[in-house]
Amino acid sequence: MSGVTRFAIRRALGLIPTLLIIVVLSFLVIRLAPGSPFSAERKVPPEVLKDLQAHYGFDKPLPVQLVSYVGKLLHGDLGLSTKYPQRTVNEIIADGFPATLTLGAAALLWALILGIGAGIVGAVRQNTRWDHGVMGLAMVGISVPTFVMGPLLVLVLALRFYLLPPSGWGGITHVILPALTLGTAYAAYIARLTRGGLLEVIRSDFVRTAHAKGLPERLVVWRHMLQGGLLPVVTFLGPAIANIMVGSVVVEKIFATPGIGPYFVDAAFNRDYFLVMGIVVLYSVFLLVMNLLVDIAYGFLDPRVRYE
Amino acid sequence: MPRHPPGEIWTNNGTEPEWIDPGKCAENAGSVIDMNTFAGLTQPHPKTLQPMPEIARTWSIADGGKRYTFWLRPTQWSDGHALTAEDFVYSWKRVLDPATGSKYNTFLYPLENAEAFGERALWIAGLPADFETAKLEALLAPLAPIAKTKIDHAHGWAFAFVKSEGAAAAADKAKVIAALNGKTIAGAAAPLTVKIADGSVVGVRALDDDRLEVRLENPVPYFLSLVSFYTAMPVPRHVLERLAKEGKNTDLWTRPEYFVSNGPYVLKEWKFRQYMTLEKNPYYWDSANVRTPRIRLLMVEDENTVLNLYKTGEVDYIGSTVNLPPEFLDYLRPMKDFVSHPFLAVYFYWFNTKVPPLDDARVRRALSLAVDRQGITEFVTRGHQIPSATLVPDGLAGYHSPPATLFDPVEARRLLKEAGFDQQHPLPKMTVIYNTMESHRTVAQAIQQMWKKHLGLDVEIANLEWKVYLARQQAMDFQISRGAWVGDYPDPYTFLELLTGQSNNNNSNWRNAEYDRLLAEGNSTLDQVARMKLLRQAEELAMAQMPMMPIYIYTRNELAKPYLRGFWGNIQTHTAMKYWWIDQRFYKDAPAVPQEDPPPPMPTLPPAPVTADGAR
Repeated sequence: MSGVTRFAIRRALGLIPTLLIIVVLSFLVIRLAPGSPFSAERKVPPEVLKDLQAHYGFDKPLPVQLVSYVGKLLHGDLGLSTKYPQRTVNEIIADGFPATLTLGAAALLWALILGIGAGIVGAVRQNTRWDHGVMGLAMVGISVPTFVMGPLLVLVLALRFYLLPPSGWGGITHVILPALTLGTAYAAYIARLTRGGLLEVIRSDFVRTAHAKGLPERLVVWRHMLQGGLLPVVTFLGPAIANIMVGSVVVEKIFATPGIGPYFVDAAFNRDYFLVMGIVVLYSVFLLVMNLLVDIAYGFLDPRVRYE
Repeated sequence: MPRHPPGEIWTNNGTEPEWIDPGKCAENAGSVIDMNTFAGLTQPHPKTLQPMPEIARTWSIADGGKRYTFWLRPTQWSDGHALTAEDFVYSWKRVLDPATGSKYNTFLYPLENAEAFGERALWIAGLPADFETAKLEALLAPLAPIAKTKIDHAHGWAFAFVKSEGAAAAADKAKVIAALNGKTIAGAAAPLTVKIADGSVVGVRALDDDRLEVRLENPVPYFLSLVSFYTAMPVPRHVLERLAKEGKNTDLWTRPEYFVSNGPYVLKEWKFRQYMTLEKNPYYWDSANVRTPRIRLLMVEDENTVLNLYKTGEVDYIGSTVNLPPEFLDYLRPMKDFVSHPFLAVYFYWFNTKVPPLDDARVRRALSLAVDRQGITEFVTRGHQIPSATLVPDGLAGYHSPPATLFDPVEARRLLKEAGFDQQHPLPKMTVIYNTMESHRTVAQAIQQMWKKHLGLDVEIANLEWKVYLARQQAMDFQISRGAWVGDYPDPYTFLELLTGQSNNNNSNWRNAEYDRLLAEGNSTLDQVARMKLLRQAEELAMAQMPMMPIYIYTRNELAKPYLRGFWGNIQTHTAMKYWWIDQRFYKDAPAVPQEDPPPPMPTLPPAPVTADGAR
């Protein structure tokens, strides 16, 4: 068994207790929050409330509910939604996740193209107008929140020139505006990280050698600098992909994208216990797996890293 | 111009509905679907909301308003299955059954013995004909705590409502059943039968396929409006039973693959949290007058996004469940698309009348008189709301609230002084709680300043997350709390009931026997003039005591494209899509035509003739 395989298996097994701790703590936190999933301005009649609580198993002691939840979780059953009683949490996530994934993938692609491109320009043309220009734009990208960027794009591209639909879901045109909004903030970070990473390797011996051999600038960047220069970007990508793939609440709300982003916030406000837990589990799994993949990818990009 | 195919109307329904099962629905998003896919015994007129015939072609009222007989027209479900009176019986008992989980099951409590079924009261049969309440209570008292009893001499039954709750209630009921079931009471013809009340006790039955008899606990003057509400609409029993037989979850019957309804439209497509598509139901009895083949309802929650969709022509009507952003109202108001009308809902503050100094009615009235309601609606909410110091909006069933002073800080200070508070003895600091929403915050801040300015009162305002706010309100853990109430039917009682002693939603700790008596007396009279007088007296009494402080009556501000026809705003924002159509002349740049008048009230028809062999 190779070192990387042993490392991956050991780390993957280590994820299980971490996940269990997350599940137990989240379960207790959400269940101990004041309020009930069934409370409303117009109160639910007591006998009806009793039956509703029994239907969801909320009439049992909390430890029993926790054990029952973990048992179901091990079988892949995320439970019933209280806000959308005709749907299971599995169904809700299965419904929303494709939209979030599509949007996330498009946003990530945009962020990588724009961010890495801008980062390279900044590093190669360090301390020139080009560098200051792209890094200035990156600062703007980081500083302008999505709830400003989104409406601005809508105002110009949808309401002024009628080029794209202002919101909704259904075709490629519906993906562009939310992906631009979501991806730009990440692009800005990636640009700064790429520039920083490249500047670290730009004065290395191997880069100087490559230049000395007479390789064109383009090839020096692609073949020699990017591998090492992108290490900070790879580190950032782990949590970034997890974030982007589990959905952006603000962007999905602004563009009425039927992804799972807003579910988490809405579910917490609605005390939709199992839906909150479902998203927590999904997010945790994503984050842990992405961090693991980043650690593995590190070894490929940086020969100094050894899997021990 | 619309950006969708002709023959379709697109609107926004705000959010993913919790239920579109009419028996389980308890919120706006689901109600819009129900009111357009199902049909009740009556339907509200699209403008005036007066009840008109729907599935019932006519009706008769007997026993002093306590017995209704509805003659149903021959109708079918959208799968061609015949709809009978038994479908209504099934559906209503299903709503009342606590096991169904209908959050609106109390809506049908006006039916005879419905409360006993809904509260799982004990049903006791076999009592002597002359048995009295006192004797019954004496019989039950040693066995379990009893909240109330009711003897139904007509049927020879009695009901006992156990006071305890949860597991204790179940144990107490079991104890009574074990102790009394089979026991013979002196003077009785047979031993007692005691059990938990079931649906058979409820006063609704099918006389035959097309006649439904409903017996009420007391006369309910607004009953014909009640039966047009979605909670009283029928559900397709045959579909639910088929799903149960197939071992499927019966809750799934509202999914498009199983959906069957009896109204103008049927559900064809349901994209979770995206949209629903409704299609004209060819089996609907009045389908000849349904003009638009398809309606699409988007589920967009963000009010700015809805406005964008409207501007780009993707929706023809912004819908009755999402508000226009207040900051755009001044810009939108002059537009010909802008529609504004009063909405059957009132915004108010609850006073916890058990907490000093709010236990003094003079203090509560002083607080109310020191609020400049006109200023709030003009400069704070800015949505043309109607300032109100009374609970009931004007005009319901000809009702007019008693006169009330909107703002009088001089009188407010006098009342406070009378209650023992002045500059030397100021009111103690109090807290207003409200749930997170910009508009609630701004109103609370305005009132905070008004009370400071006019009464010298220091008030803290506390913003609470929605469920925390509800939990505090339910536990009566507050001094002053924001509140609102949306009327279910166009009758003053839908608001006045809120302050009754038995109301589950009375968050004031205020109970008044005289108030309850006036309302009960009003609701037992069939003379509408006398009834309105009694209801008005009740409201006058409540407003003199001021357990809650009305602030304004809501208005609905909406945008509807000028080419959308058959659209008339009404106080319940009841969106009767069966009347909607798109005026194609707009596509051809023809001169604009004025909006058409609402249809005249539909007449009731005589019952279907009976043939010689008794068949209809």
